[in-house]
Amino acid sequence: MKKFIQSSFRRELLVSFLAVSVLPLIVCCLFLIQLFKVKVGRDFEKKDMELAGAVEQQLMTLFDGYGAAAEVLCMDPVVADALQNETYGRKNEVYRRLYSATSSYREMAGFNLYNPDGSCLYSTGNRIYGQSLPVYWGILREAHAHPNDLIIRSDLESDGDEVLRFARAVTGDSEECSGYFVVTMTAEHFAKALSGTYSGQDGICILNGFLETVYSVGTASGETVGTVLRSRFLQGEPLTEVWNNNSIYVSSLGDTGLYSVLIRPHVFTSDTTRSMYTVLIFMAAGSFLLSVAVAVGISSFLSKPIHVLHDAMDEVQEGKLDTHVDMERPDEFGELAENFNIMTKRISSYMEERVQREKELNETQIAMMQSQLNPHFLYNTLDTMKWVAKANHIPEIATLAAKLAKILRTSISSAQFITLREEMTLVESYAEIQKIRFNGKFDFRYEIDPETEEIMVPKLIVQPIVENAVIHGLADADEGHIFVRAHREKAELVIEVSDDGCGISDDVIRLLGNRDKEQRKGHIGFYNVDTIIRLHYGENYGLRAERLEGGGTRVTIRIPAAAAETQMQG
Amino acid sequence: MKGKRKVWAVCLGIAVAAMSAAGCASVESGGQGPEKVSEEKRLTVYTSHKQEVYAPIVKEFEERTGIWVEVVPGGTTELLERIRKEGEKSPCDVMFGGGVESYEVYKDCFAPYESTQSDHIESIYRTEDHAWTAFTELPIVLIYNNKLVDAAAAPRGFEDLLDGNWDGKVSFADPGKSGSSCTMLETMIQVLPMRENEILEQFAKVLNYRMAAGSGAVLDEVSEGKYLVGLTLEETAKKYIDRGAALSIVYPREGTSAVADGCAVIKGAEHEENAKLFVDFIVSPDVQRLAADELYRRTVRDDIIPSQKEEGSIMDFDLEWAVKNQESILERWAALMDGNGGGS
Repeated sequence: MKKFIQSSFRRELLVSFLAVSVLPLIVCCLFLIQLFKVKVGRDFEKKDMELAGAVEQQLMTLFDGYGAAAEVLCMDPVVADALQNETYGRKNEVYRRLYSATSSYREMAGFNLYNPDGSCLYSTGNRIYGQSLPVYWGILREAHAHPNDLIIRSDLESDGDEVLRFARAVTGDSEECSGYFVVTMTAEHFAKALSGTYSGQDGICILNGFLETVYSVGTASGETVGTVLRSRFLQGEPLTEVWNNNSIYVSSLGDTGLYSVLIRPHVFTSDTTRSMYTVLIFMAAGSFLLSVAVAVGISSFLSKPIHVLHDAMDEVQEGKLDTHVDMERPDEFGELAENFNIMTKRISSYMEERVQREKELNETQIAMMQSQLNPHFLYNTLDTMKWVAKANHIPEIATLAAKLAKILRTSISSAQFITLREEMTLVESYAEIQKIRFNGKFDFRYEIDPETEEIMVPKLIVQPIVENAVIHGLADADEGHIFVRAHREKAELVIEVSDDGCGISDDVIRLLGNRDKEQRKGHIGFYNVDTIIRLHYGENYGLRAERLEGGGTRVTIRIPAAAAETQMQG
Repeated sequence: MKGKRKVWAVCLGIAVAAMSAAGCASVESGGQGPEKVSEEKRLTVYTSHKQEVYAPIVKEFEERTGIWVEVVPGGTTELLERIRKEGEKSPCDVMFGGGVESYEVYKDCFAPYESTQSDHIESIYRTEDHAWTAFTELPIVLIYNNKLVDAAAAPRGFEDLLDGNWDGKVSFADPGKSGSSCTMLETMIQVLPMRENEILEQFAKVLNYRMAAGSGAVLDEVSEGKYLVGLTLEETAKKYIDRGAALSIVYPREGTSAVADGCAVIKGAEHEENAKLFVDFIVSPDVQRLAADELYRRTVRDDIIPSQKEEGSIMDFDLEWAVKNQESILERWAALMDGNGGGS
């Protein structure tokens, strides 16, 4: 994947753009949605809680009113008397008291008075709710057991309707139970009591202490909410979890043991959340497409010149050096193209130069190969000359031819290094020739240590020195001596060429010290030897020339003996 | 590379923060409910009683003891089968409702318990092994439509039904479906002087080989005048009469059976103590009085004087024989009905 992305400039750009556009967008949107949810949820929760509080308040006011009415009636001796005596004469008086005590609440409940056997004697309702109530059972039993308390119980009417009952024993001014004051709230009564506290979308549910439905209305109607809450409670699950997209608020109603449950539509139904996420997805998709478009645009803007240059380079690689890149851009890519063009131009001119030089070199080589024929021919000719001279008894010519042939053989051999002995033989041959040429005006001798004989030296390093001595040192003399001596000095081979000629000039000695090639006119051999030695052995070795006290010149060649041997072995 | 990883880590962190914010948002409802219920304050009751019977009793039990009762309603056989199948792991603590003859069959599922009230329970409802405790007795009665049948002409007993005057006019529930119908057949066999086969054949003929779909249908059919006479339980008949149905009750002069419905603690019950409390409660004077006064049932206690006089004579029903022969009687009955192109 990573490789796939990194293999293309365009994909790298795309990924970067996604990272800077889509990712922050998604994160921001998620944040906003969550923040919005939390904030709005909290606001709504607050409102809902207020509403739940209002419901609770309303019911509690009502229940307190029942309590007050019960307090008045239960302590009333007239009522107590009337309940103990079924044939009581002042029924109207009892009714008057019942109606006046309950005047504010009669729409919200039915108020009944029961005799000690549980038969209803007085009622504010048009029909008497529950003709009789068992005194050994349920609420009257409880009221009998706790005569000073208002007992609250949910109850089932004989027709199966759930009602909420409040009961208190009527004691009058004695301690004895003379009957019961019972308040009964049916669904109708609850509807009146709660009217205005909830809207059509809401639901209210009154549950008893065992979370059994006493009354339910609106979205909570039916017994479902109570059943759900009770089963949640018995399973140990949180009661207030969102149910059917409704928020649930449970509050206990004072010390009545009842719970009021408010059901409000959940602010964020899965629908709204889903639509928010859908918007988010569309936005992300939009920014994704934008990223793709921009990535494509920018990458083609950037990669087009790169492609052009890339193609041009390919052409150059294939050898088309006249490739030219046309790019009319003022930016770095334009510069790059310009530089590329200059570069190809340079390369092509350099190549032309090279070809020219190669051509010249080839010509030289051909010439050299042609000239190589000559030495062999010369050598053979000289050999022939020697024999012709011997046959005709001209010993000088024979000697000249033989010596020249010897020199030629050594000089045309491909070996760069020869033994000192071979070199000295060559020098001797040369001297013989020169002796004949100069009519024996000089004499040549040499003396080399036997241990130096086999030391390898560069070819023709002694001959040019001797030639120099013959041509420059002894040119004007009538008689001269040239002496070559070689010996070993520690690890060095020292070859001295001395003559008793006119002596070397100071200029030459100085120039030799300077090693200035340009000014060494007339003593080419000298300098060549010096250069050869230096090239082979380094700056510490070379030639040294000096004028002798008694006239003449001594040239000393100094090369490493061991190095020479190694050279040979190599 | 490292830098890149850091960037990813930051992004991930933000995402996680956003998600956790989402988590916070989902808990929106509020308020305070009751405290958690401990195991000592729980009880699970399987009951085949109708809600109008079990609801007030369970409610009063909850109020008096503070025990939270979970009720699982269902048919008698269905629930007993379920208890047997669930075995030791059954969530059921107590089985409430259903004829004691069924309890006899499923005895092995119950933990014997002798109620603290057993001294006051009538001797015929006391068993030696205390596998179950009787709740109420339900006498079998005849009913007739008092708009269509003159009181003087109405049948006086089981024998009258078979005298030929009522052929095709009697409604009777399928004993294969209704346990009380089965008891009715057994009662007739025990109470009438004729042989078993004769009774079954004659009665099938009286029914014209047709049976009502269920015990409730018998009441509807008779009160609507579709059929003139029916066999049902006193409890059901009284309930219908109280609601204004044009029915009259006849207590068979031969005497009638009153098979009790029972209650039993389940073997290995998780809340055994509460189950025992419940059994004690249902045979307590208060519940027994309520059953007699409000639920049209007859008490099994000897110390309760019901507000209404108990009519009719109760025969000594041979429960052991009934349990033993139930299957064969039902088979024969089904064969009779099928063989004569009957069915419901």
